[in-house]
Amino acid sequence: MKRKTLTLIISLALPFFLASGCWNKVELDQRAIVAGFGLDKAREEGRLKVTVQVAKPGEIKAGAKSEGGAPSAVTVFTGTGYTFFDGLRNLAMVTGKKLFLSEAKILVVGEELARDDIGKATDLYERDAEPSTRNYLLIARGEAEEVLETEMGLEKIWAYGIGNTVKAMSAHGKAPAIEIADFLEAVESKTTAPVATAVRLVSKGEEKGEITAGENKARPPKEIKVSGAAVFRNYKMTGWLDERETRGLLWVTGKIKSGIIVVPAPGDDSRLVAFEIIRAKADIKPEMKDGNLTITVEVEEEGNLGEEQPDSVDVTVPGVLRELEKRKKEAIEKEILAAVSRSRELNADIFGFGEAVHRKYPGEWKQLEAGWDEIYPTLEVNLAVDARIRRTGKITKPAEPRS
Amino acid sequence: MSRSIFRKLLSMKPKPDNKRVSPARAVPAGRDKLSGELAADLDMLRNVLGNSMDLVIREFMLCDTRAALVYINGIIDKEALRENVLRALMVDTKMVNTPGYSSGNSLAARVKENVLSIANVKEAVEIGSILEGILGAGIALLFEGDHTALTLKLPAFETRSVGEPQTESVVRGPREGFVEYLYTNLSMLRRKIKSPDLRLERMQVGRVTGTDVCVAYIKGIANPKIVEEVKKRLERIELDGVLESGYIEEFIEDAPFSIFPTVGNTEKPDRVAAQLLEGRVAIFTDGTPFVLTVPYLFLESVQASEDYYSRHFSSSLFRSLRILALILTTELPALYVAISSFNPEILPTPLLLTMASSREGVPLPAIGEVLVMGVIFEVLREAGVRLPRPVGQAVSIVGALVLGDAAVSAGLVSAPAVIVTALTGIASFVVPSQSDAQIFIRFCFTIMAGFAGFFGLFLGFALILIHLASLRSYGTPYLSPLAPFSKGDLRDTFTRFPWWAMGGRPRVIGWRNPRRAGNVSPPAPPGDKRNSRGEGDG
Amino acid sequence: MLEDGKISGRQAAFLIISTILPTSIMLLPGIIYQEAAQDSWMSIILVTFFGMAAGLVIAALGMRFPDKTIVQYAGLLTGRVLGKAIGLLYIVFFIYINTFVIRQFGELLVTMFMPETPLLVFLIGLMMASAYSIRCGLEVLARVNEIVLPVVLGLLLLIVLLIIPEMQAQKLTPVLEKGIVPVLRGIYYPALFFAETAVMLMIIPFLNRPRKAGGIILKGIVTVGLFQLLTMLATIMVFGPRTARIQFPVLILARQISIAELIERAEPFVMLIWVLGGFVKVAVFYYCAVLGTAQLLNLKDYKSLVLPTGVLLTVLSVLLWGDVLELTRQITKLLPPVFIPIEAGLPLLLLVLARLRGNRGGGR
Repeated sequence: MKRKTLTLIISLALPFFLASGCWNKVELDQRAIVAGFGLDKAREEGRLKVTVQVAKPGEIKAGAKSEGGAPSAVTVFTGTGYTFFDGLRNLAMVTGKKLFLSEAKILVVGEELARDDIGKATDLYERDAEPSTRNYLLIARGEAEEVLETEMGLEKIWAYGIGNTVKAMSAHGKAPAIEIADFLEAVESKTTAPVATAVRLVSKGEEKGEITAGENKARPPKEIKVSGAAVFRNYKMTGWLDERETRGLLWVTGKIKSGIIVVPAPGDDSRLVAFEIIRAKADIKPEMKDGNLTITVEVEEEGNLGEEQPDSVDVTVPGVLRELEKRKKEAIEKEILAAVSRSRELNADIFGFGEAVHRKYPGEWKQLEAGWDEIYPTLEVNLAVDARIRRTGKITKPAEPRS
Repeated sequence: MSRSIFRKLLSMKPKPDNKRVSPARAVPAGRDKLSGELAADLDMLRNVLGNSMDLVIREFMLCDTRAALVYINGIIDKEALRENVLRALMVDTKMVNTPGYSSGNSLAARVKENVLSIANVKEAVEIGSILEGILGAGIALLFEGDHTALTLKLPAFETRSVGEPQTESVVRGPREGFVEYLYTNLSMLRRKIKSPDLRLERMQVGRVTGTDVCVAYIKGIANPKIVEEVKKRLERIELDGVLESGYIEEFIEDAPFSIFPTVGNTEKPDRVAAQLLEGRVAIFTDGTPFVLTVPYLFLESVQASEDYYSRHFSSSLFRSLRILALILTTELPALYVAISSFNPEILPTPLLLTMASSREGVPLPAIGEVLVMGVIFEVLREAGVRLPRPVGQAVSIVGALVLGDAAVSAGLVSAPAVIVTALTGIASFVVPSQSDAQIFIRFCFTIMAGFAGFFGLFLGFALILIHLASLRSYGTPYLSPLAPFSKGDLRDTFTRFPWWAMGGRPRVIGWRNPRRAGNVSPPAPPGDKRNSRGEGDG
Repeated sequence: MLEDGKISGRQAAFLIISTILPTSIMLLPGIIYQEAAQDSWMSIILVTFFGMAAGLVIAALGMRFPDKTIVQYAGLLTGRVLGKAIGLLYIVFFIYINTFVIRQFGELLVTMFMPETPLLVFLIGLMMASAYSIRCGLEVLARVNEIVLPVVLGLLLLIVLLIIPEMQAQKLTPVLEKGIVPVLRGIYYPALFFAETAVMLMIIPFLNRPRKAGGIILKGIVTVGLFQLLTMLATIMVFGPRTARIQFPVLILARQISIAELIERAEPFVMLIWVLGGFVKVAVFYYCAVLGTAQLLNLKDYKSLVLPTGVLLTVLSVLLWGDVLELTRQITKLLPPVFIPIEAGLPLLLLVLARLRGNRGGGR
């Protein structure tokens, strides 16, 4: 009995040890670490063009020696497939290593595909074990492939550079930082319109482009610019927000952490005063009165006087600071209103007003929800912006030239 | 399953002879008592001892009776022999025959009572016990026409002087360590525990060596059942020779097939005293400074004697560090394998990229790296232990420079693997008493992680945990006081509470006398009401 | 006695927690959310009360026969034949629910960690550990759990703590949007888990103080309820409506963690919770099945049954369900109406019967 038991246990345990060795074990050096994905419509009908930017870890340290040009430790591969997943697997043939998706930080989707159906890109993120839904979702004006092929600032792994830029731009209010999880959450809401970060390529300047054309035949050198936002209805993209409208959106959603507000100086419109945003808070307050729905957006902003062009204002004079605050408030209001009117044009509730109503008036919401598309463009939106100036920096007045 | 294989192997060996080889067995049958004829008896002794070259027989006249001293040269105190025995017998023996002094009827008794100024004197009738006396560092005194001999214990042989133990050195605390001679060791213990309840029970183990073994415990604190069990297990030992306490350990431990020790050992008297005071039983073995203590619990391995001497905050901190080291040394290589071959995504991106870059071009898979480096480390360590100190330095230079640095720069192994191995190695020295188990667990975990990543590692962890939980040392669960959980005892596990807050003796061991401190209250300035009230610790 | 070990009240309470918690925190948030949406946390509070009630019934029954398991005393209450049938029913219940847990255990590991590794590898590993612990006896299992459970709960707390920056309290609103009905419907599925205290029907005789079984079960259930509530709240506040679609929300929760780009993707923590906690859970049911069978067949030792039962469990867990969805469908559709009566209804019936007949078997 004893020996039989022993044999049985061993015969059961053996496959465990022998069999499992073969699967799922990929040495680190056999993995191609993907830093960012790109997804476009392929030229062939019904296919997708998948681009991956793969980090070359060996060159991260060595890159310091390279002379001239932006540092780089990446290679870009492009391939096609019927779906995202299919395309990725097809890429493995080119890369020679198993693609490792967990360390990617961004997903760039080309405009054409985004306008068609971005759902083709997002499902894999939620379903597969490797990629993270915390990746930033960017929509490229043009091709995503081009964005991933373009060098990025000082970061050796360009996609990570783009990720960092998105984060910074969001804090400054120039582009929203939308993770795929956020995007899907908005998709799942019946009324909220999803948005995504917009990215585009701009030329570095004509004359420079001509000089280097000899060395870099393929394209004139371009720069990546992360700014603005793309607006969706469900999985389809419907339009863009520019930088100003984007900041308006971010004011309302309370995402702004820093940034600069520039207003003309009181008394002399040619001279400018710049404020640094220190903190900002926002609240959406729906109000239902006699069947009339109004939304009040409350924004509380605090900032410092960061710069003035001499010599435009004298903040030591009582009342000047209040005047400046008023101007700042108006500037913020203008930005928000720009965003609101643009969103009405697109009939897209990018702010999540609907969800706010849903939370406050769950009973009435059922009827409102069905007709939200009709309600939204005419929805009454009030602004209650409170902008403050707390400090004026190290000096009170700029140096005054002796007259 | 290993158990049954072992049993099988064991049963193939011939059954050992169960009878103890006492000196008496060498005596021809029917002649096991003194004959009373001196010459014949001496011949007899000479024959039994095989005319050994260190046997000394000194015949002399005790007044008018012939007498003889028999001893073995080199293990007795010659000074005392000359002053207290020979001089007394040959010069001051007038009174022996004085009628008034005669209280016993045999000469031996009268000599014992009136002449010898020696403490340890016994009368012996059988040749066997005489031999035992001679061999146990004593002198036999035989008289013509008397059936009784005397054995005098006069041990004096070269012993190492008490020094600082090599294995358990301390910064603060007693520096003396046990020596090889049993009675010196017992004296060191007696000096620490001046209690009539300290029991030292002598036993003899080893059919040929007849090694003295002493079971020490404190009556009223130690659980009598454990004491009984210890004695029972010691009595069961059938072995020719016991040269070190390790021989005994293998006979009396609870789990002979486990990689974990269930019997503790130490060479520090203060530690033994502390163990006895907690209710444990100590087993001293003649010929070795290592004293065994039972029951031995897993968490004892992270407790150093110094913990109790230095301030409790630092002791608690260092205990946590030791536990961390224990975890590191067993799991770090496995973690490295699981992360680098299976789930690298849990690393922060910069670290992952660094690791990936150092892995580039390395021919071995991660598991190969750490296994090879691990084996090399163990070889180096073993070499360092056995070699004389100056050569040992050379070994460490070769090990560190050639194997470590050169291997990395040649691209044979990756730098992280070397770091992992080095860290593992260093951490393994932190908890020395589990070092055997550590190596086994480390390699098992590494291999399991190599097969199934984190799942293999966690599974291995679960299996080890089950094994640990199933162990007992003399009735006490090995993992106590963690499992079964004992709240009071927890004060002296991961942390060490100040002494005034540890009024309770470990409940799992000290059963009968659960309090070891009386007035348990923190020190307070004079006049503080807490001082006078003497409240309990709750 | 087949089992001569005794476990303390604390160990028993820990075993109850380990019997319910590991799978319930992994599977329930999604299932409950499908019914009760953002009010799911209320369902959990309510189901905790149900669990307490069921636990008290089980304890009351068990305390009437403080030295017997249900397999042994069912016959005393209902007669020999019916008693054997009830015993068999419970054994089948323990085995069936265990195959379920085992399969779920493997599925999570395959889906989330090692998609290319065969399911069987995980199942065999798990069963090896469980079988080993059972061969060592209930005492050893209880001791192992005394170490495992604090680790599991600690890691769970850690995950919830680290995910706090991602939480949005507004996802809990509107409260009671569709009234109380969805909340009540949300009780249905978790009730299955919260009545798993039925294992105590087999374990009460091995408590060192069987008379305290009621308090022990309550303590266990309340702890489970608290941790379940915590994870449910965290899940809702992080995922919102996405919760309903996610298969293993706690795992995804851990994956969302990102603190200063240093602590990211704490998935191995979840795996540790799952492997250690899952192993104890499987072992408890496994033990109940093996012990019950041994008692039903009047064997002297249950150890000879460990291996065959283990093989049976492994094989069944692979064969019974073809795919994951079938598995989940069974949790939500088939299991509750059948198993909740076995877990709570039948003990209640037996308790009433015992009251009527005034049976106090084996009372000391």
